[in-house]
Amino acid sequence: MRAIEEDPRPALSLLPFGVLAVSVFALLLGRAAELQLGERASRAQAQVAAKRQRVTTLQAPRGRVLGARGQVLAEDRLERDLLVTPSRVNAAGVDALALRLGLGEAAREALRARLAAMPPNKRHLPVVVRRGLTAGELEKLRGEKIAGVQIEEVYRRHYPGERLSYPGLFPVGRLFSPLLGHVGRAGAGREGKAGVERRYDEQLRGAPGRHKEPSSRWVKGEPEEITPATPGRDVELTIDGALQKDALLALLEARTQSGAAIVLNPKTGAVLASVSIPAVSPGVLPGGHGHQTPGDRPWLDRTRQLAHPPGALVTPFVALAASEEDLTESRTCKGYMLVGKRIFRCTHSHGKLNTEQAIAQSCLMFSYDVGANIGLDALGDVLRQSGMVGSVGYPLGEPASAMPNRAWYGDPFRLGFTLASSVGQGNVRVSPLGVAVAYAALANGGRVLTPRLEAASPITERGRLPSLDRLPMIRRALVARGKEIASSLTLLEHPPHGVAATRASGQVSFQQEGGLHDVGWFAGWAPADEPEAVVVVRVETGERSAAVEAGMKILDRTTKHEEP
Amino acid sequence: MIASTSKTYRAGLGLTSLGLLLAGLAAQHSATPGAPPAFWALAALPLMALAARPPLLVVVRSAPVLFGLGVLAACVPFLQHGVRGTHRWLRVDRFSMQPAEFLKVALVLILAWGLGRREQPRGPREAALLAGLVGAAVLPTLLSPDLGTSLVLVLVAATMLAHERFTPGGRALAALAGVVGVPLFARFGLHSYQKARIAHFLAGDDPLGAGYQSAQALRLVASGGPLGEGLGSWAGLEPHPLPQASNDFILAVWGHETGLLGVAAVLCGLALLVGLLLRVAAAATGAPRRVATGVAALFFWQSALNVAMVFGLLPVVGVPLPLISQGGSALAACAFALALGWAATRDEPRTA
Repeated sequence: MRAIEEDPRPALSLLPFGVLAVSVFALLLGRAAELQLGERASRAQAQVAAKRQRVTTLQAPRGRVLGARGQVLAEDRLERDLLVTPSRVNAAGVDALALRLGLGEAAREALRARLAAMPPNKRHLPVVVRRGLTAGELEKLRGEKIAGVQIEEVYRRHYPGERLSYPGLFPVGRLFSPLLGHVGRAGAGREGKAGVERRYDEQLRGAPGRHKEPSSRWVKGEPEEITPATPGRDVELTIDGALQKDALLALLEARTQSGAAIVLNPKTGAVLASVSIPAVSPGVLPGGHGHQTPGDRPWLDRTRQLAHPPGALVTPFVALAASEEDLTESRTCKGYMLVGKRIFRCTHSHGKLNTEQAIAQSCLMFSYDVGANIGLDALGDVLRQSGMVGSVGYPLGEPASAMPNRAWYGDPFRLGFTLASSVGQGNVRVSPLGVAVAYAALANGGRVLTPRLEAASPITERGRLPSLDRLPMIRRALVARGKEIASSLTLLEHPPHGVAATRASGQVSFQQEGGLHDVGWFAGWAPADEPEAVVVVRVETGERSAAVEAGMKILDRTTKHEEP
Repeated sequence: MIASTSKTYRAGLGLTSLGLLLAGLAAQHSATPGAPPAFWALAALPLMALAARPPLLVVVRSAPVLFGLGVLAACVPFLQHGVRGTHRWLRVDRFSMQPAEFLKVALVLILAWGLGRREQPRGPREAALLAGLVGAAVLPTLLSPDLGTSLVLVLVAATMLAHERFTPGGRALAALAGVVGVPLFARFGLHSYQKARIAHFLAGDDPLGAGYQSAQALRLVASGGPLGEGLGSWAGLEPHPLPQASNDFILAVWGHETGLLGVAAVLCGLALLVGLLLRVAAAATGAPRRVATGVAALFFWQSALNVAMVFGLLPVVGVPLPLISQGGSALAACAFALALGWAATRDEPRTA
């Protein structure tokens, strides 16, 4: 490198720069004094002081859901979770924690790996490493505190029978799901998400409290409650827990994997049991939401949210419509009926029979004939009046149903549409709840009652069945049919006697399976003369007779249970 | 320089740096709750002493190589994937650094080298060459985009050149470069977020948007009061009101925790550091004088811009506070710059 002679003149003075530097630093110091002394500082201190206290929400325990006999169907339990903050716990702390919990080497490594895997921006947040600590574990964790380890109290919802399992048929489900529904996570306010929990959420939820505490260990002060949490109120249902379990077991013993059963008190409209399978705890949905097989959609309350053709369950109501139109004369069943080029068949040739016999023998020709004479719309009116179709005022939501009228079909309208509807096939859809309301009206003398779920709710009559003078005849017919059904049951050791009942099958087309699939129905009440319980069962898979088997078992058990 | 005086300067530089480093450690520990204290930062001091051992002239002679490497390193991030839309970080495997921080020191060295190659006064040709060197450092930094560092580079270069003799033609050229360059930069060089920050600063609005950090920093500094809320009290604020407080806004944390007393101590420390470097420059001649002047300018402008930004006297430009803000690259660059100032205290031949 070439050396250059240094300029012989004196270098330019650094004094101006020095003066500039001193001036700027003095100016900045003055600005700091302006900011940190006087009113501005006081105002800022007051604003920042508010940040030194962490205000947290105190969970309010939800109210209990009680059954008719005082059984607890859902309740909040105070649990303690173990939380670890990855940024505050060190290796020795993890070892100490593992020692107190009695974790093995593999579990300890898994815990360590889990904490290490937390991303840097979330390491300051506590991680739940164990939910619901047992008393023994809590005892072990007492003593000297481990930095970064804390125990948090949380309320969790518990349902009896939530781990109910039935090997081979019913993996794991909840006895009262989806009737009771479920609640959201703690962070989301634990509001009711479905079923009873959602319907009575306002009553059950209560009001959370507020709690103030120093935001860190560097801040002095004691925790302080600002407003206490107000627990939610209990809700007492008409559901009989023991009967609910019996109904579920009856369905399961009938070897069906998909179905529903509902038990109604015909005098009060109280829902005594409401069972729907498959049912699993939320978040454990097998196959995902898009899975379309008869055994799917376990989140649905099948007693009201899934409708199928009722088949011959409509026959008593067709008879009521016939009475309205004065079509009660005797008929001759030849076993078939020719409409144009199409043949509508009965089960067999019944010969000459009156209305009572037609109901007792479930003669399709009778229904075809009445339907053809009164028309589709008149038939729909009777079904709507009975509560089988349309709204019934159920607190959890109206039952799914469909009863197309003539206008819905449009032109060209065919007689076949009416005939199919008059035997409960075609496009007629009903759900077990609607059928139960309609059969309760048959059982109680014609009063169509609103199904009640809350014990304190009043008995409400929505209307009356038409042609009440014909009811005794229809009830006699159903008693006779009940006897016939009971006598055909070979599986039951003691088939119930003195019941009024009928059975039916509804044809549903399944596109995936390329054909028709029958759902089995059972509807009946017992005792026949002084009805105390109306039972409706629908099975969507398995033998059609499974519905009868399950229905009879439930009816049998209702007579053994005391009315709540 | 008399040996005893140079020892005093070295001791002064070392002790002041240690004090500022310790203040930075305490503030960073508060600003990042849960993170272990960054004691490794204290290694800057022995590294500084080690880096000061080679004769300064040898370092100045290697300035072209160091500057070339610095510019190259500042350009390489443009070939890599950006981080949040910027190209400030050079990443090699898990290691990352900000080349612009080292470019500041390299610019001081290259200017000291370039200014020593021509007799004074310098004409337009020399002025243009020097301006070209400054431009080579500023351009990749500005495009990265890093407005704060670009500003520091320009101000450091201007300070160094202001202490050199130029012919009237040379001065005219430098003035012309400023008159043309600043409006062009304001029109085409500023990004939308930078414009928003300047607009907020001028209008004083948008405390929840572009002016959020500035408004929060002011409030937190003010809340420190005369004596502060106490070391560690920052961690008690929840939610933490100032994002990324450990970097450019570390003084807000320090001001909140130690109050006016602590802020005054840091400002005095920085002023003492600049003053010592200027004293070293005044006592030296040739390349050591220029290097010491450059390093003093570097510390002065960085400190002034950062503190003025935190105190709401300037828009947010993103300049770290020397020796106090978090960041390995900035700390290493500061340590290297101080090592040069330290080396300038030694007697050197009067040629470069």
